[in-house]
Amino acid sequence: MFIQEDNLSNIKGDLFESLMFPVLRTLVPGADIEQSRELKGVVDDKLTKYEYDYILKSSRLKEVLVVELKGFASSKYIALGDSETKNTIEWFFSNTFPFAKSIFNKIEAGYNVTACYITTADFTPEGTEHLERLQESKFKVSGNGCLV
Amino acid sequence: MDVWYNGEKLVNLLEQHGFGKILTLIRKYYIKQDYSKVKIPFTPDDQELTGEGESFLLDELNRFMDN
Repeated sequence: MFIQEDNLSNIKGDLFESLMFPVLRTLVPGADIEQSRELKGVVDDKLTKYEYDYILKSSRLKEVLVVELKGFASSKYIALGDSETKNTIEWFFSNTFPFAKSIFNKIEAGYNVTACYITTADFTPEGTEHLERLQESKFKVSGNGCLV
Repeated sequence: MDVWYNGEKLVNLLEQHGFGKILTLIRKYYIKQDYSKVKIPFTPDDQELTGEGESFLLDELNRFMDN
Protein backbone atom coordinates (compact mmCIF):
# COMPACT_ATOMS: atom_id res chain seq x y z
CA MET A 1 0.00 0.00 0.00
CA PHE A 2 1.27 3.43 -0.88
CA ILE A 3 1.39 5.73 2.10
CA GLN A 4 0.96 9.48 1.77
CA GLU A 5 3.88 10.12 4.14
CA ASP A 6 6.22 8.18 1.81
CA ASN A 7 5.02 10.30 -1.09
CA LEU A 8 5.84 13.51 0.79
CA SER A 9 9.24 12.12 1.71
CA ASN A 10 9.96 11.35 -1.95
CA ILE A 11 8.95 14.86 -2.99
CA LYS A 12 11.29 16.34 -0.39
CA GLY A 13 14.07 14.10 -1.64
CA ASP A 14 13.48 15.14 -5.24
CA LEU A 15 13.35 18.81 -4.27
CA PHE A 16 16.66 18.51 -2.44
CA GLU A 17 18.26 16.91 -5.49
CA SER A 18 17.03 19.76 -7.69
CA LEU A 19 18.27 22.38 -5.22
CA MET A 20 21.72 20.81 -5.18
CA PHE A 21 22.18 20.91 -8.95
CA PRO A 22 23.35 24.55 -9.19
CA VAL A 23 25.50 24.05 -6.09
CA LEU A 24 27.34 21.07 -7.57
CA ARG A 25 27.67 22.82 -10.93
CA THR A 26 29.36 25.73 -9.19
CA LEU A 27 31.61 23.64 -6.94
CA VAL A 28 32.85 21.46 -9.78
CA PRO A 29 32.89 23.90 -12.69
CA GLY A 30 32.92 22.52 -16.20
CA ALA A 31 31.99 18.99 -15.14
CA ASP A 32 29.51 16.82 -17.03
CA ILE A 33 26.64 16.25 -14.62
CA GLU A 34 24.27 13.31 -14.74
CA GLN A 35 21.29 13.04 -12.42
CA SER A 36 19.70 9.72 -11.39
CA ARG A 37 22.27 7.75 -13.36
CA GLU A 38 21.75 4.00 -13.23
CA LEU A 39 24.78 1.72 -13.28
CA LYS A 40 24.55 -2.00 -13.95
CA GLY A 41 27.03 -4.80 -13.44
CA VAL A 42 27.39 -8.40 -12.40
CA VAL A 43 28.24 -9.10 -8.77
CA ASP A 44 28.56 -12.72 -7.60
CA ASP A 45 26.93 -13.89 -10.84
CA LYS A 46 23.92 -11.66 -10.23
CA LEU A 47 22.92 -8.68 -12.35
CA THR A 48 23.09 -5.74 -9.99
CA LYS A 49 22.03 -2.15 -10.56
CA TYR A 50 22.02 0.99 -8.49
CA GLU A 51 20.82 4.50 -9.16
CA TYR A 52 23.02 7.44 -8.20
CA ASP A 53 21.72 10.89 -7.33
CA TYR A 54 24.49 12.72 -9.19
CA ILE A 55 27.61 11.69 -11.02
CA LEU A 56 29.97 14.46 -12.08
CA LYS A 57 32.79 13.88 -14.50
CA SER A 58 35.50 16.51 -14.72
CA SER A 59 37.95 16.03 -17.56
CA ARG A 60 39.94 18.97 -16.20
CA LEU A 61 40.43 17.33 -12.81
CA LYS A 62 40.44 13.79 -14.23
CA GLU A 63 37.90 12.92 -11.62
CA VAL A 64 34.52 11.24 -11.34
CA LEU A 65 32.54 12.39 -8.31
CA VAL A 66 29.70 10.17 -7.05
CA VAL A 67 27.23 12.15 -4.95
CA GLU A 68 24.70 10.73 -2.50
CA LEU A 69 21.97 13.13 -1.36
CA LYS A 70 19.51 12.76 1.49
CA GLY A 71 16.95 15.52 1.94
CA PHE A 72 15.59 14.65 5.36
CA ALA A 73 14.28 16.79 8.21
CA SER A 74 17.14 18.18 10.27
CA SER A 75 15.85 16.32 13.34
CA LYS A 76 16.72 12.96 11.76
CA TYR A 77 19.99 11.06 12.11
CA ILE A 78 21.60 8.88 9.48
CA ALA A 79 23.18 5.83 11.07
CA LEU A 80 26.52 4.25 10.25
CA GLY A 81 24.70 1.01 9.42
CA ASP A 82 26.21 -1.59 7.17
CA SER A 83 26.56 -2.41 3.50
CA GLU A 84 23.20 -4.20 3.42
CA THR A 85 21.08 -1.55 5.11
CA LYS A 86 19.65 1.19 2.91
CA ASN A 87 19.71 4.85 3.94
CA THR A 88 22.86 4.36 6.01
CA ILE A 89 26.39 5.64 5.60
CA GLU A 90 27.82 2.21 4.93
CA TRP A 91 25.16 1.38 2.34
CA PHE A 92 26.77 4.08 0.24
CA PHE A 93 30.45 3.91 1.18
CA SER A 94 30.72 0.11 1.39
CA ASN A 95 28.21 -0.92 -1.22
CA THR A 96 26.92 1.42 -3.91
CA PHE A 97 29.98 3.68 -4.11
CA PRO A 98 32.52 0.83 -4.49
CA PHE A 99 30.22 -0.64 -7.14
CA ALA A 100 30.29 2.64 -9.09
CA LYS A 101 34.02 3.00 -8.54
CA SER A 102 34.71 -0.46 -9.99
CA ILE A 103 32.72 0.44 -13.10
CA PHE A 104 34.34 3.85 -13.62
CA ASN A 105 37.80 2.40 -13.04
CA LYS A 106 37.13 0.35 -16.17
CA ILE A 107 35.34 2.86 -18.40
CA GLU A 108 37.19 6.01 -17.32
CA ALA A 109 40.75 4.79 -17.02
CA GLY A 110 43.05 7.34 -15.44
CA TYR A 111 40.24 9.10 -13.58
CA ASN A 112 40.17 9.27 -9.80
CA VAL A 113 36.75 8.24 -8.45
CA THR A 114 35.65 10.16 -5.35
CA ALA A 115 32.57 10.36 -3.18
CA CYS A 116 30.48 12.96 -1.42
CA TYR A 117 27.54 12.35 0.96
CA ILE A 118 25.35 15.39 1.53
CA THR A 119 22.34 15.57 3.81
CA THR A 120 20.18 18.23 5.42
CA ALA A 121 19.86 15.94 8.45
CA ASP A 122 22.68 14.83 10.74
CA PHE A 123 24.74 11.72 11.29
CA THR A 124 24.91 9.69 14.49
CA PRO A 125 28.10 10.26 16.54
CA GLU A 126 29.37 6.84 15.44
CA GLY A 127 28.67 7.74 11.82
CA THR A 128 30.36 11.12 12.13
CA GLU A 129 33.52 9.48 13.52
CA HIS A 130 33.57 7.12 10.58
CA LEU A 131 33.06 9.96 8.10
CA GLU A 132 35.89 11.95 9.69
CA ARG A 133 38.19 9.02 8.99
CA LEU A 134 36.94 8.80 5.41
CA GLN A 135 37.58 12.51 5.03
CA GLU A 136 41.29 11.80 5.19
CA SER A 137 41.05 8.83 2.87
CA LYS A 138 41.36 8.29 -0.83
CA PHE A 139 37.65 9.06 -1.23
CA LYS A 140 38.26 12.75 -0.71
CA VAL A 141 37.50 15.02 -3.60
CA SER A 142 40.65 16.67 -4.88
CA GLY A 143 41.24 20.14 -3.50
CA ASN A 144 42.56 21.73 -6.64
CA GLY A 145 39.92 23.61 -8.51
CA CYS A 146 36.88 21.97 -6.96
CA LEU A 147 36.01 25.00 -4.94
CA VAL A 148 35.79 28.27 -6.76
CA MET B 1 34.65 19.65 -1.29
CA ASP B 2 34.54 17.40 1.74
CA VAL B 3 33.51 13.75 1.73
CA TRP B 4 30.46 14.56 3.85
CA TYR B 5 28.12 17.40 4.72
CA ASN B 6 25.45 17.29 7.40
CA GLY B 7 22.87 20.07 7.73
CA GLU B 8 25.24 22.37 9.61
CA LYS B 9 28.13 21.95 7.18
CA LEU B 10 25.76 22.31 4.24
CA VAL B 11 24.44 25.62 5.57
CA ASN B 12 28.03 26.88 5.96
CA LEU B 13 28.87 25.75 2.42
CA LEU B 14 25.82 27.50 0.95
CA GLU B 15 26.54 30.69 2.89
CA GLN B 16 30.20 30.62 1.86
CA HIS B 17 29.31 30.44 -1.82
CA GLY B 18 26.39 32.86 -1.76
CA PHE B 19 23.51 30.46 -2.41
CA GLY B 20 21.05 32.59 -0.46
CA LYS B 21 17.85 31.55 -2.22
CA ILE B 22 18.69 27.86 -2.02
CA LEU B 23 19.57 28.25 1.64
CA THR B 24 16.19 29.88 2.29
CA LEU B 25 14.40 26.90 0.77
CA ILE B 26 16.62 24.43 2.60
CA ARG B 27 15.79 26.17 5.86
CA LYS B 28 12.09 26.26 5.04
CA TYR B 29 11.66 22.62 4.12
CA TYR B 30 14.43 20.74 5.94
CA ILE B 31 16.37 22.66 8.55
CA LYS B 32 13.93 24.29 10.91
CA GLN B 33 14.98 27.24 12.96
CA ASP B 34 15.93 26.58 16.56
CA TYR B 35 13.16 28.60 18.24
CA SER B 36 14.79 28.37 21.65
CA LYS B 37 17.40 30.84 20.41
CA VAL B 38 14.92 33.32 18.95
CA LYS B 39 14.37 36.48 20.96
CA ILE B 40 11.11 38.18 20.14
CA PRO B 41 11.51 41.95 20.44
CA PHE B 42 9.33 43.59 23.05
CA THR B 43 9.05 47.23 23.94
CA PRO B 44 11.40 48.40 26.73
CA ASP B 45 8.74 47.90 29.41
CA ASP B 46 8.09 44.36 28.06
CA GLN B 47 4.38 45.07 27.92
CA GLU B 48 3.81 44.77 24.21
CA LEU B 49 5.50 43.62 21.04
CA THR B 50 7.49 45.99 18.93
CA GLY B 51 6.59 46.27 15.26
CA GLU B 52 9.56 44.01 14.55
CA GLY B 53 8.31 41.41 17.03
CA GLU B 54 4.79 41.49 15.59
CA SER B 55 6.15 41.14 12.09
CA PHE B 56 8.32 38.21 13.16
CA LEU B 57 5.41 36.37 14.73
CA LEU B 58 3.18 36.94 11.69
CA ASP B 59 5.93 35.59 9.43
CA GLU B 60 6.30 32.51 11.61
CA LEU B 61 2.53 32.00 11.69
CA ASN B 62 2.43 32.15 7.90
CA ARG B 63 5.34 29.72 7.71
CA PHE B 64 3.55 27.34 10.08
CA MET B 65 0.30 27.55 8.06
CA ASP B 66 2.21 26.88 4.82
CA ASN B 67 3.59 23.67 6.24
